[in-house]
Amino acid sequence: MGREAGDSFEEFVRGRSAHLFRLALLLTGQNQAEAEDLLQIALERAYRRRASLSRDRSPEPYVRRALVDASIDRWRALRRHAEQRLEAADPGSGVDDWAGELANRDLLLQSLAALAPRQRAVVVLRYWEDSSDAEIARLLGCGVGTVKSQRSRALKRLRELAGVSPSFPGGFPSKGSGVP
Amino acid sequence: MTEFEGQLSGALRTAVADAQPPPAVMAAVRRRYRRRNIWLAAVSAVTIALLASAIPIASALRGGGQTANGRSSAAPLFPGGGRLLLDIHGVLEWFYPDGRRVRIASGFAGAALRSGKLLAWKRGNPPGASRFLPRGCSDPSCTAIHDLSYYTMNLDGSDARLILPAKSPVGNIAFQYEGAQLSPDGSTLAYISQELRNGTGSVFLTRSELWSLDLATARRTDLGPYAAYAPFVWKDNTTILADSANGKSIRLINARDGSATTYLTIADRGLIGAYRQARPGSGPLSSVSLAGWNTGTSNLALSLTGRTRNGAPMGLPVEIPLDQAQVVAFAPGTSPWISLSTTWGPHGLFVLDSRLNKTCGLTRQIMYAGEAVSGRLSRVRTIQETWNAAAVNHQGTVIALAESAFIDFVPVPSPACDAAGKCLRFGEKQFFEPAFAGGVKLLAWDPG
Repeated sequence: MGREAGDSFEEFVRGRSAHLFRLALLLTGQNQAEAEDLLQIALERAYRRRASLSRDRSPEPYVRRALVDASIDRWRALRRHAEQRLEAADPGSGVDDWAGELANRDLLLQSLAALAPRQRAVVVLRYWEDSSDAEIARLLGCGVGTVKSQRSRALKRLRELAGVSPSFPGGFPSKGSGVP
Repeated sequence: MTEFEGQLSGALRTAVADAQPPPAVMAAVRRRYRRRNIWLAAVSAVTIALLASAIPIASALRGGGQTANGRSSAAPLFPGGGRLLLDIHGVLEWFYPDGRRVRIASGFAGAALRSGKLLAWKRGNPPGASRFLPRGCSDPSCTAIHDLSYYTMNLDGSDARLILPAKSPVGNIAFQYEGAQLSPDGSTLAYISQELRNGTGSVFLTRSELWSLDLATARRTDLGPYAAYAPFVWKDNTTILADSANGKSIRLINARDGSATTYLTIADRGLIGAYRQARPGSGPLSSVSLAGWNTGTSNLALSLTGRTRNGAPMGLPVEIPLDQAQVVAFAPGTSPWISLSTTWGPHGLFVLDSRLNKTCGLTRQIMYAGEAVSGRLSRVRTIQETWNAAAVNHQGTVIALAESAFIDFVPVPSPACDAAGKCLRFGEKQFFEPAFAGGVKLLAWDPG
C-alpha cells in the first residue's frame, strides 16, 4: 500500500474529522465516548481500504456510510445486552417537566436519541447535513421513497416524543415564551 | 421546511457546533488498525497446542478473559461443536468454539467446502479489466468485477492451486467466470463463462456458457449455452443438473462431452400435484428451476413458479426424493413476491430463508427449518432481524446465522431436529465481535 494513499488519507482525516465527529455525535444521541469510538471504527475501516478509496474518490462517502452502519450495529448490541440506552433516554420524563427543566433543544435531542438508528440517521443527514433525500438514499443504499417515508415517520415520532402540543402545531414555542 | 423542522435543524446545529474530535484521531485509528493486524497475526501464528492450553487469543486481546456475551472464556463460545468457516474482510479463517481463529488464507472473496478441500475464489486485476467497469461505478467492490480466479487448497490453506485464472480482456471483450462448483469427488470444476463487450458507456453480456474443467488433465469442455447466474448442481461425479433455456424443464448434462437429456419437465404430474396442493387456487405451473441438491438425502430441490389469478408469479420450493414418487412441497408464505433461498444441512435438514424485500433494510425475513420426511416447516425463533448467511452444524442440531458483527446460534426446531436423533433446547446464543463489523461472511460449518 503506497505512502501516497496513506498521506492523502491523513489529509482527509485532518480536514474532515471535526465534521465526521459531529455526525457521529448526533448518530449516537450525543454520547461523546461512543461517538469517539464510532469515528475510530469508521476511519479504521476506511484506513484498511485507503489505497482503493484514495485511487477512485474521496473516502468521505465510505466513512459516512460506515458511521451509519456502525451506529446501527452498536444500537443492536446495546439492545441485546443489559445496557438499554433507549430506555434511559425515555422522553416521557422530559415531557413531564420540560417546561421547567429542559430547554426545547435538549428535549428534541433526547427524543432524537430515542429514534431507531436508521430513522435517526435520516433525520441527521437531512436536517443537520442538509443532504437531499436522493443523496441520503444513495448513502444508505435505498430508495428515495423509503427515505421520505422514514423521515416522515421519524418526524411524527419526534413530535410525539417531544410532546409537541396541538397549541403549537408548527413546532415548539420559542424559548422563554411561557410554556403552559 | 416547517417550523418544527426548522427548530429541529437549529437544535442539531447548536448541539454539535462546538464539538471537537479527540486529539490525535489518526494516531488512534492507526493503533486500532495495528491492534487488529496483531490480533490476526497472533491467531494464525500461535500453535494449536498453545491455544488449547492457554487463554483464547481473541478473548485475551479483548481483555478480561471474558467473551462478548460475558461468559468465561473456558466455556464454548458457541454450541454445536465443529468449526465455522468465515471470510473476515477477505481473510478465510476457521473459528472454533473455544474462541480460536485460525487463518487459512487471505485475499479471497469467498470459499466453499467440498470433499475435504476448499474451493476459494479471489478477485484480481488482469491487465485491461478496468476499462470494463460500469460508468459511474465508484464503489470499491466495482474495481474488480470481471476477474474471479478460482483456487483449490487443503483445509489448512496448504497446497493452494490456481485452477482457473481470470482471463484478461481480448480487444473489446472481457471474460468472467461465475458460480464455479467442484464435483463431489473434487476431480472436475463446472463453471459459467461469460463474455462481455464494452459498448458506449455500458458493458453488454454477449455470451454465457457452461463449462467443465478436468483438474487432472486441465481439459476444458464446452457444455453449451447457459443463462448467466443460473443455478446448476452436480448430481454425481460426471453429470450436472441444469436449468433449461425456457425454464420449462431440468436437464441432465454429461460433464465430459456436453450431451444432455431432459430430466423432468413442468408437465411432470408429481410437480403439478405438489404445486396445486401447496398453492391452492393458483394458476398453471409455468416454470421450474434448480434450488439445490440436498446432499443429506440426495433429494433434488427445485423452485417452482406458477401464476396467480392476476398473472403475478408465485413460487415455492419443492423436494423430490429420487427414490420415492412423492414430491414434497413447502409453502412458507402467501406473497407472490417472497424470495427464497436454501441452506443444506445433514440428515436431509434444510433451512429456508424467506425474504420479502422492501428497501432501506426494511426486509421482512423469516427463517424456517424443514426436512422432506415430515414435509413440515418450523419457524426458527431468532431475535435477529436480518441475516446474510446461515449454516447448520454436522449433527443437525444448531443453526448459525451471521449478520454484520454478530453470529447467532439457535437450536434447530422440532420436527426438523428429529431427523438428527436429538433436539437441543437452549436460548439463542450470540457472538459479537466488533472486528467483524461490516465484513464477516459465514461460509460453512465443518465437523472439524
